[in-house]
Amino acid sequence: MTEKAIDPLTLEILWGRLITVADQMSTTLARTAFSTTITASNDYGCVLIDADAQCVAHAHRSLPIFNRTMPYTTAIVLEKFGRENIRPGDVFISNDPWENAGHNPDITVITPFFKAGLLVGFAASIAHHADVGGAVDTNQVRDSYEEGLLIPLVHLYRAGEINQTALDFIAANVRLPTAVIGDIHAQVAANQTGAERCLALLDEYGLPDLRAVAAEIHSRSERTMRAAIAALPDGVYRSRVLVDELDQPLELVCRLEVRADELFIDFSGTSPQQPRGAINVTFTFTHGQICYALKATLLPDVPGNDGCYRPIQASAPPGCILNAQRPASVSQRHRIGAHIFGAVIQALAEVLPERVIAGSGFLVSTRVFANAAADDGISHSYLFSAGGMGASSRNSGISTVQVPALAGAVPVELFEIGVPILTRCREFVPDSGGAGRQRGGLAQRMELSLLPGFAGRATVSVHAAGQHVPPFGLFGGEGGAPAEILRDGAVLSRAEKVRHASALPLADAAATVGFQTAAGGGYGPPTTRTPEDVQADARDGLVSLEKAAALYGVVLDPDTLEIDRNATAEMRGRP
Amino acid sequence: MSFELGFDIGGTFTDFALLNTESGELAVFKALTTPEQPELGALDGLLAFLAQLELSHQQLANIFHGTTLVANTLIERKGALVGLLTTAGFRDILEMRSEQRYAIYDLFLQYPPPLSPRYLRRGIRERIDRDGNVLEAVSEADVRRAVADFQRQGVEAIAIACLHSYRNPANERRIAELVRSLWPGVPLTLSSEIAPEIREYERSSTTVANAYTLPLMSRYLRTLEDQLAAAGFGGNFYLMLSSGSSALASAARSQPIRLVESGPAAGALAAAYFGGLAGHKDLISFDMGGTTAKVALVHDGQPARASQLEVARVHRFTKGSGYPLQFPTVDILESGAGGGSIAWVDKLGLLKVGPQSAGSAPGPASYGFGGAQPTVTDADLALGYLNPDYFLGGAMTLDLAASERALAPLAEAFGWTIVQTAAAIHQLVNENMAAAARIHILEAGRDPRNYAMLCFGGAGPAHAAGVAEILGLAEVIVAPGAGVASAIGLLIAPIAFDFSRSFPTLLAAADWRTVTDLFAEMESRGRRMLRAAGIAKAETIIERAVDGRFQGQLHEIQVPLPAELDAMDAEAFISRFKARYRELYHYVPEHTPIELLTWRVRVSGARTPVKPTKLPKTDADPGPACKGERRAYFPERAEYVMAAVYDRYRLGAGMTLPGPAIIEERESTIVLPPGMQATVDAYGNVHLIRARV
Repeated sequence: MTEKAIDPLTLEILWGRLITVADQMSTTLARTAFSTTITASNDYGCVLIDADAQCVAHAHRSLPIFNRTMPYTTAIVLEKFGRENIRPGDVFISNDPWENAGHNPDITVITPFFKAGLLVGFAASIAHHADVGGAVDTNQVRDSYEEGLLIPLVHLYRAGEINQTALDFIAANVRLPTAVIGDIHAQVAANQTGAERCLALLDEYGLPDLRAVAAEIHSRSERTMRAAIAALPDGVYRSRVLVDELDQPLELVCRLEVRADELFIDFSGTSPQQPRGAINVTFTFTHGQICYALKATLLPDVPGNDGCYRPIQASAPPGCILNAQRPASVSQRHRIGAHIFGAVIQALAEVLPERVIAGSGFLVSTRVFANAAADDGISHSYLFSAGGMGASSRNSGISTVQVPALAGAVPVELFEIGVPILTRCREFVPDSGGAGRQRGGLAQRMELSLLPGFAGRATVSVHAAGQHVPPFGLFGGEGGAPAEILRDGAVLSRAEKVRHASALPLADAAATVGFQTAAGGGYGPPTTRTPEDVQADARDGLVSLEKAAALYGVVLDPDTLEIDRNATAEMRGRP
Repeated sequence: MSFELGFDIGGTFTDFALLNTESGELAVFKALTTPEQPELGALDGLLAFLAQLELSHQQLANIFHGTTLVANTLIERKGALVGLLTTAGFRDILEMRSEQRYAIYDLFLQYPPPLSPRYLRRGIRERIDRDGNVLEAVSEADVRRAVADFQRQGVEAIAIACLHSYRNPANERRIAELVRSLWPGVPLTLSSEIAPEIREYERSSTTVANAYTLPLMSRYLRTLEDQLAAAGFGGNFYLMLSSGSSALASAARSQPIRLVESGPAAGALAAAYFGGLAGHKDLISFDMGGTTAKVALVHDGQPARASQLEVARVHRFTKGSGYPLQFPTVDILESGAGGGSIAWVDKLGLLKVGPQSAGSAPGPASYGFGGAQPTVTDADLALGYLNPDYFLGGAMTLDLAASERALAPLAEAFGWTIVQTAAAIHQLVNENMAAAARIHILEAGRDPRNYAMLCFGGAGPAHAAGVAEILGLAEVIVAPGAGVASAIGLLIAPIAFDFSRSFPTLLAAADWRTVTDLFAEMESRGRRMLRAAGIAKAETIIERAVDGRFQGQLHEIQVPLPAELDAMDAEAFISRFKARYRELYHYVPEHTPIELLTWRVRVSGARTPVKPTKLPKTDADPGPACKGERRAYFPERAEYVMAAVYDRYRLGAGMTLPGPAIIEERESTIVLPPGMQATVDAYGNVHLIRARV
């Protein structure tokens, strides 16, 4: 049966409306959720998926990885239950890291919707939940069983009937059941919004299903991605990225081949999965990161959907750290997985110098557990703290903004209301941004202590990405400062970090735990940065006078900050 | 006789409306805005307006003023050099924002620069904890050093924003006291006064934005008031706030940032008023101009309000790319859809309209000022909707051939005729505007089909029927007073002030004495302000509300509270809270405690009602108002048809016009598609409804 083709005007209108529907799902979830990871940090995603498990539209602020994993999980729904057995009123739930977003706090909820009894599509959401049980001291975990709750893909609702057994199991296995169950309901509500609005839209346009519009969205997006790939010279592009987030340096080896209008990317030669420490990456996450890096560099101005990724084939050998096999520990997968973005970008930098950015500082994620008294329950809070963004040909990197993830910070005042902690500081780290013609974005330093007068104690888990190895510079730019973890103001050694960083005690009001995120890399040789830009950075205290001279070759008067033109010319080796 | 005057300074025109407070009669007037010194154009315009009416400044009892000056100062970044004093260790809060990127695939996104540069942001040793306890008193040495440095650096205004100051303003007040003693007269803004609400980034941003606009606005208002006084004006001078109320200039002058949306807020009030005359309480106020369209909602006769807004967005109207401000505002949704919006083909081969705009220079191709790109105005002209010889009442001639030339490349790209291309552009821009309104209505938990659309002048009336059709609205009302709606709104706005204080507490454990004290403090400030405006205690209306949420959530919903807390029935409150929550989000998490965060008071006084001008009653036959006919293209007919052309100024009450038709007035054109009909009511509103078959 041939579908009636959709004219370009109707397509443009419908496409925009579908994105709006996904945005409305997103709004519903953010407003009704409990966990700050969702409400403040935006660590969630909402998508509309067609009946063949292909993503049609995602919410504007939906996290890029999630936009790729939800259709994948939906395909598993079709495979596991069979299309014919999926009924109106069904809702599915899963957090299996190998079938979802790579770690179990990310729980996917998928709601199929129907028109005239036929499956039309799925509204899906995924969110980072407040707790899923498991060990707090993640640096020590050896396998995924130690990481807490695993929800296999099951019915959360069956034909409109809630699966209370599943919910009871979930509630019994997490430290914060009210928040987790509340957030699962918020996801169900968001999906319901998406399903209803999508069906109303089809009715309005007299369409029997999503097929005609999805086909157009996918084929146009695919063609455009093919054109973007074809514009690259055929050939093999490579990068090797050193990452060192736990015991030892590991290597991500990227081979990217452009063949006409298709792109093949493989990570053979990458270090093996690790026996401990939760830093292994499932391929679902790896694949999502690869797609995000390619989308942002090759086709940033087309709305995301599965058509964009059809010309891309991605692989990583099973057993390598980017395709970890069960039962590897994975809950900190982003500390390694975030570097995939940099590996892809470095491979593409030579052919797309105007489209790439230098290495970014990613983030430090911190969890605080506080007990007032043994039986008084716990209070808990997550913090995501951004590093600096890498510089580009056009701009200096933005300070403290998350790349490649998009989770945001929790306001200090709200964080302090949630847990009995006093934040001692949260500010930029001068001289952390990689020097360059365009400077890398600055990192931040944050320090926490117990709230004076609070009688209990707290444990702080600090998980830093971007340790030991500076986020890379490009085209002569310097790397950014790596991340550090601090106890009582002092930097922890590697051995101390491995042993203690994921469970640091705050026993009294004098003790502090802190960290410094990693900063962005610079772009272009620092000595080509205009003296006026260096002067402005020095005036703002982003770059010290010493570094202005030593790295940028710009000599400034210590009192007036006037540029000493002669001394600068001499430093820079020009007459 | 006694009169009230409203004047609104917009980007192009300064609009005036005068109310005879005895008869309720209204007169309106327009003058060109003088952007360099807008007060001069306004004062000259007023003189001309009064001369025309044979009145003098002495006869004006009250003047109400709205202006885009504050918004423009932020957009053009022409404000003061601001020094920020904040808690030591937190001076970068203003620049760290939420740490999120607002556009996920754009690696080159940018943010507007912080309105206080880093070298002028100073940490002061001091600390208040979450419960309002002073953990560390203010370091005087730190303040001294910072102020001395600010003086050397040429700082023009100082902002003070410390952690948890919404809970206890003592440290901010102490810093302010020190600053005043060290530097008497320096303009100061305290976060605990301008926005005493939790969330340090938004509060700091509001505080700094206020400081940024304070010196300029103070000078401007002083000049204006002095000149008005010199001309003989001896009454009260009020400013229109974003919240949709007016406050005495003497009370509002220290918080100019609250004027940022004063024009659009007044416009929304006017929409509520005219909608009410036409018998509608739920309205979409629709204002389409040259570069943007603004949508506001009116629920139950009141403009919908929000407790925060974002201004001066740098990226295609994207949320997150501007400066957040934390105070009550009429909720205005702005999208990049206007007469000047440019149509183009994107990478996917799809037609797009906006958000780039040709503005007024070079303007649409049809203006003949050198614009070559096809705009919405060009499409409307090619469709036959606009009269090339009666644009701005004939002050300007439009060049149809130039429009068609500009549309030709798009027509070729899609294999459409020129007029089909124009129709596609018209439809797409309507869709963009409808999308903005739809999200807004659904987020308020309402059904768009229960709303009527109300628009005034500008490009709106040519698009209103199309937008309404997309939203499934039954009726469009095009009110009279095109172009001076905001000025009329100034005469309708209640005299009121909004106060808020964050004091987070669980409902079950609330310390009602503290809450009562907070309300008492806010209300007595409000009563003082109203008393100064000559409003008697008996006429003062107090409205209380609280922002609450289920414990652990981040987003709050606002729920009204009774005027006396003693009378508050907790069970009734909980059920009201849950009902509102269910209306918005369907699912209510039962058994979860309710947490209350920010306590709000609105203190207001009534105004003299504006009496609408009535049109003489005439026959239903619109013949006398018809001035001819012309070819116009309607996509539903897929061809040109002859449409009757009417003169709006000759329409009489009771006339019924069959579509297709075009109704022309000087600054705008109403398009009535086939299958619809227009009726004219006693107040001159033109109602567009689907014709009964």
